[in-house]
Amino acid sequence: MSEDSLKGNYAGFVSRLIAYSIDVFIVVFTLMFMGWLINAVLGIFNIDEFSRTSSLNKILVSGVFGLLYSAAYFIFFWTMIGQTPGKSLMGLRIVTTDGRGLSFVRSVRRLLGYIISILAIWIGFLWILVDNRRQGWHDKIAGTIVIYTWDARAGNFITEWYRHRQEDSQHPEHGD
Amino acid sequence: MESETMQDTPDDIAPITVSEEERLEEILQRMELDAGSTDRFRTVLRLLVGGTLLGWDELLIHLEQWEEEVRDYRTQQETQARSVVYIQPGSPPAPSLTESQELRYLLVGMLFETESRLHRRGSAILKFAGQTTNALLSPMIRQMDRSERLQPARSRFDDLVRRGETVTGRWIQRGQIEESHSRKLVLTATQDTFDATMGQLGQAPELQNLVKAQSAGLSKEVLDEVRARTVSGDLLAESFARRVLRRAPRGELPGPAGSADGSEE
Repeated sequence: MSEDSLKGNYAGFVSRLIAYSIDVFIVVFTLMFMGWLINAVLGIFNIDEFSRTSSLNKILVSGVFGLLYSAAYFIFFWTMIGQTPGKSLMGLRIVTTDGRGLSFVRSVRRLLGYIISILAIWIGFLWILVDNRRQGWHDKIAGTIVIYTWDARAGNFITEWYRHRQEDSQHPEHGD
Repeated sequence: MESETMQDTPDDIAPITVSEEERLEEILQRMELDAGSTDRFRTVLRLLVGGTLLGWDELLIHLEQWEEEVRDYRTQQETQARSVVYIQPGSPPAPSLTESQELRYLLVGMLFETESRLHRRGSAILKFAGQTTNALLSPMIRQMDRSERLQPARSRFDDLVRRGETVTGRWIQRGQIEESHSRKLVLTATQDTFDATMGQLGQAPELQNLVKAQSAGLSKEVLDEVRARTVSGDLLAESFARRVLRRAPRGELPGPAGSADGSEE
C-alpha cells in the first residue's frame, strides 16, 4: 500500500451513492425481468387470475413482493460477503466498527436503519457528509462503517488542496 | 458474344446478356445519364445499394447453411433419442434432467411457444383485415366500374396507368444495370479496403501490441478512473457540505478506519 493510498479508510458519500444507485438499478431490473417472466409463464398456462384482479391489488402485491425482494437482496449480500454488487464494483466494504463482518441480525438492523433514513427525507444518508467517521444513521444504528477496499486515491488536485489546508491549519499565521 | 452472360450474378437474379446491356446503355446515354461518368453521388449510391444487396445475399446464404446444420444435428439427436426414450408431446420431461436443465428447456420452449402463438395470431389478424377491407371496398369499386358518368375519368386513369407502366419498365431495365454495377463496385471496394487494412496491420507490429494491451487493461483502467473520480467527489462533497453547515473543515484526508484493514477476502 503506497503512502497516499486510502485503502481501509472510511468511504465517502459520492462513492456510496453511486454504489447504492447501481444496486437500485440491479434490483429494479431483476424485478422487472421477474415480473415479465411470471407474466409470460402464467400466460402460457392460461392462468390470468392476476390480470383480472383490481389495480389496487396488483399494486399491493407487486409492492410487497418488491420490498421483500429488495430486503432479501441487501441482507443476503451484506451478511454473506459484506458488500453488494454495487459496492463491490466501487471497491467498498461494510464492516463493524471493530472490523468484523456483519451478522444476520446486524444486517437486519442496518436495513431498518435504511428505512428510518429514508423516512427522514434522506437526512440519514446525508449525515455521511458531516459525520467524522462518515457514518449514516443506518451505520450508527447497526454499528457499522464502510471502507475502501481498493488502493484508493483522490486526484492530484484534491490531494494538493488537502495538503495546503493541512499546512494552513498547522501554521494559521501563514494562511490567508 | 450475343449470348454471353455477365459474371458474378447470383442464381436468383435473372442474368443480363451483353447485348441487352448494350441496348440499355444506349437508352441511358440517350437520356443523358451516362452510366460511365464518375459522378461521386452516384458512386456512393451504388456503394450503398450494392452493399445492402450483397450483405443481404450473404446473410441469406449463411442462414440457409446454419439451418441445414441445425437440421442435421436435430436428425442425429432424434435418431439417438429414439433408441433410448420416446418423448410424446405433453409428456413430462425425461427424469434424467437436472433442475437447471429443466428450467433452461422451459425458458427456451416458452420462447418458441410465444413465437408460434404470435405467428398464428398475426396470420389470423392479417386474414381478418384482408377480408374486412375486401368486404368494405368491393361494392364501392364495383359501382365505380359500372358508372357511365365516371367513364371519362376511367379512360384518363387507364392512360395514366399505361404511362406508369412504361416508366416502370424503364426503371426496371435501369435497375438491372445499376444493380450489377453496384455489386461489382462494392466487391472491388471491399476487397481493396480489406487488402489495405491487412497490409497496414501486418506492417505495424507496435499497433498489434497496442491493441492487445489496450483491450486487456482497458476495463480495469476505466474502473480505476471512475473510482478515483468518485474518491475526489467524496472529498469535494464533504467539504462543500461542511462549509454550508459552517462546520470546521477537515484538516487532512480521513484517517484509517480503526482496526478494519479493508483487505479483499
